Amino acid sequence: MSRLYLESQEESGKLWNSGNVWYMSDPLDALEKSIGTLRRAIRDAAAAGDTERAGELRMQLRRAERAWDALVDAGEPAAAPPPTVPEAAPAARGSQLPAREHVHRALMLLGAPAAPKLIVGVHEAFFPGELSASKLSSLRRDEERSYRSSPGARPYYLCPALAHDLLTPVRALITISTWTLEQRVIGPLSPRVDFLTSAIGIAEAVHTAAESTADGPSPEALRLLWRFAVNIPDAMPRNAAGHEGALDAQQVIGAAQAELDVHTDADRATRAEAARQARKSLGDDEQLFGAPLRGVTHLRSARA
Amino acid sequence: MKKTVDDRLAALRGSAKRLDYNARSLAALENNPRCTLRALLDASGSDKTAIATHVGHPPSFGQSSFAITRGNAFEAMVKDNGCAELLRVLRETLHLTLPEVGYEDLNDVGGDGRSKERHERTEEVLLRAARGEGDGTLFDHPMLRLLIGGHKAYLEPDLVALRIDGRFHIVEIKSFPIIDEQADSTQVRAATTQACAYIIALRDLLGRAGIGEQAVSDTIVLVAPKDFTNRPTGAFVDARKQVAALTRQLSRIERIGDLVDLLPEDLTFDLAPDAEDRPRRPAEELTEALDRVLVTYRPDCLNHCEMAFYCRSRARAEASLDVLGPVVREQFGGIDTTTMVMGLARGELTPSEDQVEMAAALRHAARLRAELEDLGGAA
Amino acid sequence: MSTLSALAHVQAMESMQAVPLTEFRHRHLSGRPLVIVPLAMAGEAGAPLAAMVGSAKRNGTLLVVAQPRNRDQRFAFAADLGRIVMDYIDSFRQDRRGEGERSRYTEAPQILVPNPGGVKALADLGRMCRFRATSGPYAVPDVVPEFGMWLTFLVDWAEQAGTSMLLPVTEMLTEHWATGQSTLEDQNLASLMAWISPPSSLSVEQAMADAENPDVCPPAGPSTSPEFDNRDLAPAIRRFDTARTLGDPHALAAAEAELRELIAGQIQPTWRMVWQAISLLRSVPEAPRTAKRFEGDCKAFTDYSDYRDSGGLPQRKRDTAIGAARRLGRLERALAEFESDMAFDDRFVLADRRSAGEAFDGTVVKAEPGRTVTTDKNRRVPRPRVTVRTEDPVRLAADTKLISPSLPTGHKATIVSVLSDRDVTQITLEITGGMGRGRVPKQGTVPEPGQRIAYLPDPGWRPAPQFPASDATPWTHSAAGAAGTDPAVPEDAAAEEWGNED
Repeated sequence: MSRLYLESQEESGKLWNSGNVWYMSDPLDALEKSIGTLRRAIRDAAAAGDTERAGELRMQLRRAERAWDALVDAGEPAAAPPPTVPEAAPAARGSQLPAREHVHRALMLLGAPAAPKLIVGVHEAFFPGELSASKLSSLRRDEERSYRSSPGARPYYLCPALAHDLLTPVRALITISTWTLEQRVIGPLSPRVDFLTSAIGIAEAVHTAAESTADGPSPEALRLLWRFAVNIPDAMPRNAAGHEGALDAQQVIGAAQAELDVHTDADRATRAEAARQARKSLGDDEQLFGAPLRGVTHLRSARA
Repeated sequence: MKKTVDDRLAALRGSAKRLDYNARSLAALENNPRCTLRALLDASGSDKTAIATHVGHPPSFGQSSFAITRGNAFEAMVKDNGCAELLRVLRETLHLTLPEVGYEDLNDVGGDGRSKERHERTEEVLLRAARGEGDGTLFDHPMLRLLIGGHKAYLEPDLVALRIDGRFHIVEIKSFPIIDEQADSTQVRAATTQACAYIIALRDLLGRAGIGEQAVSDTIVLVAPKDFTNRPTGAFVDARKQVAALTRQLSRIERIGDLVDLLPEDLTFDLAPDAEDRPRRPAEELTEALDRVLVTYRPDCLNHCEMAFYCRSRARAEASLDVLGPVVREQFGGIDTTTMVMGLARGELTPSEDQVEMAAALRHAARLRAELEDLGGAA
Repeated sequence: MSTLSALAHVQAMESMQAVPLTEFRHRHLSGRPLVIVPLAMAGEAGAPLAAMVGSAKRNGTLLVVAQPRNRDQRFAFAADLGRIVMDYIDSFRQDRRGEGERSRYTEAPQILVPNPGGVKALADLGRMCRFRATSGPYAVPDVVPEFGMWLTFLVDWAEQAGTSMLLPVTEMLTEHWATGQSTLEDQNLASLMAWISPPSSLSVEQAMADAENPDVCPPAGPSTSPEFDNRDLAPAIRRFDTARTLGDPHALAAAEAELRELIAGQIQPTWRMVWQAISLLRSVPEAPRTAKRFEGDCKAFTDYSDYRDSGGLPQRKRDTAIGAARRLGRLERALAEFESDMAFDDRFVLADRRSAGEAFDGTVVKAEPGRTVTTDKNRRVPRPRVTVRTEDPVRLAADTKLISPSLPTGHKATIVSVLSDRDVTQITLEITGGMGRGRVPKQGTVPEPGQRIAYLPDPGWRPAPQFPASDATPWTHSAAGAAGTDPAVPEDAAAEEWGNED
């Protein structure tokens, strides 16, 4: 039977959390109901002499009962988080570096604020060792704590980008404390400017790898560059047949630079103005980690 | 007058917390607009799931976590890296010019994610943009608001894009594929209906500032995976007809008082929950209350209304032709039950004046079937 | 829908049991059909999750994609399924009869799926597979594109009314039985079977309730139930992913076994139900004209098979304007012929048409058997007239051409006049064909007074419409650009890669 599901993110999220979907409201109740139904169905199938069906249903029943046991034991939903994957043993050179060094190195390559997903992508494309997104999020909390306990003890800190108007932290984007405020502030045009800047950074790294290493750039690096290039006008090479040919790092750099020229002035003006405002109104720590979130207190009082 | 209607609606809902309209329940309005029960339950903000469950007919549609994960992952991917993929698609469809890349994140206000705050911020940002100030082109998750029957409903489109010529477009990001330039029509329709609520809400926002409704296009941009890849492609969907239909439905809600007036004074769908939120009201009593409201059941309610299983059980109990769906129903215009159909077919009932023709056709059909069965047709 | 069919549904609802709509089964049912029960992952574009496949109830093969988001696993699955299906199809490419142009395979494959969603799942799979390259950076096994092209052929052919090479069993069942539920609910195989053949210990009501309860009757696919997805499948897939990441062979084997067990629990009830439906359908006698239509299937199968043997290209993504028009014409013709065939063969279907006023049955009340007319070529030919009295609510107009299942094949008549008085209609016909070549009609070709006779409209032999050849197509109707005219252009390899989320 065809069913209509609205898949929009905010919708589904709400439905899910509010317990609006009946069988999610109490998994234990739902399971007990299933178990009851299955028992009846087994009885019916057995009465009808359908042993095959009864066997199948018994299997379902065992499964439901196991889920019920697990739920009662754990006191939490059956869909428990999977066992976490232990960090793989450190392997090649450079992989012993602390995670923050990995992040720093990736951000330096990009030359612009970046989301954890992109940082991980850059790391995997160009550097050895393990770096996971979950590692990154715990890292970010450590950084602020470390700064507050002894400001300036480290040569750099990883900190969030700042919103140009409210100067609040933009949690999704990571920057380096040694970058200028202008670099760390995000205006309306900045996401695109930073994307193009990052594209250039990646293309340069690919180019360098092609020139200086025997194997050339890794497949991951080429794939990353491809993902950027397809979204920049004229960055993809065209062969005679009009189909896509092999990527050319120089062409990507040229194309990104060309679009960058369109946005740079306006973006720089917004960022400079915001940076000026930040220097005027924010303390040192706030210039790094952002103005306090406006709604924190409200949020706390708001219904969960 | 308004107040009394509101009071009546609040009494219908009883002690439960009011559930507001959302994009989903608004979209559902279009599916069965003539159903009084649904109109009343929605307008009163009653919890249909809880009510249906308590009377023994829990709804059975849930969402697969796979679909949710996939939907979220796809939207995130489209918006990654400064909306890089989305910009490519919008440059192709909406012909955005190179400088049109400005991005405004309206997911929260400096970390505050509450609807009211976000709505105020959205209003401020979008009005500024509509007046041609700032660099905004892409507005990520604006929080719109619609007053429905005097109650606020907050609605959150995936994205609103503003073109240089001053026109806003609703952008819906969906994870069902567009294969060889064609997408599943049911899913497109659902997405469009949902987008209609956004169009109406955005027009309302701009309208309050004296900006005409033509500032919001009634063509939506659907962004969805191309073929079997994970890369997005865009398509225009004309939503004019559905905007008109939804507008009509919304104005009907404004007249909900007409429906409420027809109800008995003491009618309520209250579940009378105890401290642990377990309903104490006897299920039979609640069923009786529901039975006093006119229900328009259609089989496709099973796809979208929480009350559908209850309504179907009632329709079955009443031997209503609604059970068989519109195709069969249409054959018997003006007749409501199988009892009536069979009575006329067997010549046991005398047809009313406007049933004469139908009755003749039925008797003829019954004669044919009787012949076939007598001749020992298939088992 | 006619009043009669609608009444049958009402009868079913009143009596709480399915009511037959036809006397015969009008679809060919192979002695060795291949059943495929496809499952897909919710929310993914054409991501197969599993399939159970086999040509006998006892030898079903369960194929599972442990991580449907992984492209390599997807195509490994397509290759496995493809091998089974291609072995089955190839087994029908053995015996040929006839010479040259008329040479045909004598049998054709038949793939049965539970419901219309199953056809859509195979269509998606066909589209996903048929353009794949078997060499180069994202190579797939040879069988994958071959399988994709065959699936596409079968899905296309299934659009044509009366064909039998790919069918959802729900459709075969609803062609023969009317239930007391809606069309929407009839698409749920378990609900449909609850009406037609409820388990012996259950009432129809109980069976219907069970049919909608995913704990008792898992959905027949392609979507699995959200409860199953969230409660069982998602954690099992996570365990599989974890085991693979850890590279732990024991954990991996255990995770795979668990997934198989889970999916088997969801798919097997449907598998058995499809076979149960097949044996039910076997108990319904096959309509006489089904064999003739099956020959059409064999011809189409032979033609496509030869096309593949000659290395033909995959089907294009979208029809050209000419192709679409040609296809539409073909489908319309096939539908008209199928409807007329059924009415000819089957008293139930004829009654249905009568109830809708599209056919009639009555008694000859007047006849002029000796009537002749002179043609343009000055030839005298017999043109007998008869008048038929019927109580059917006839809605046919003068000049309608008719055929009759009550008279020898070839009989043709044209309505001269229709006179209705209350419930009785007198129809005067001129007989125009099927009387032999002589000046006097052959014995038994002209109905006599008192004879009971039925007529229905002649679907007509219509010549296939002529369309310009592709190179003569005006540019306004040809596909734009080079890519459009070359059906074999694969998606660019890079975009392919993007689909791999692993």
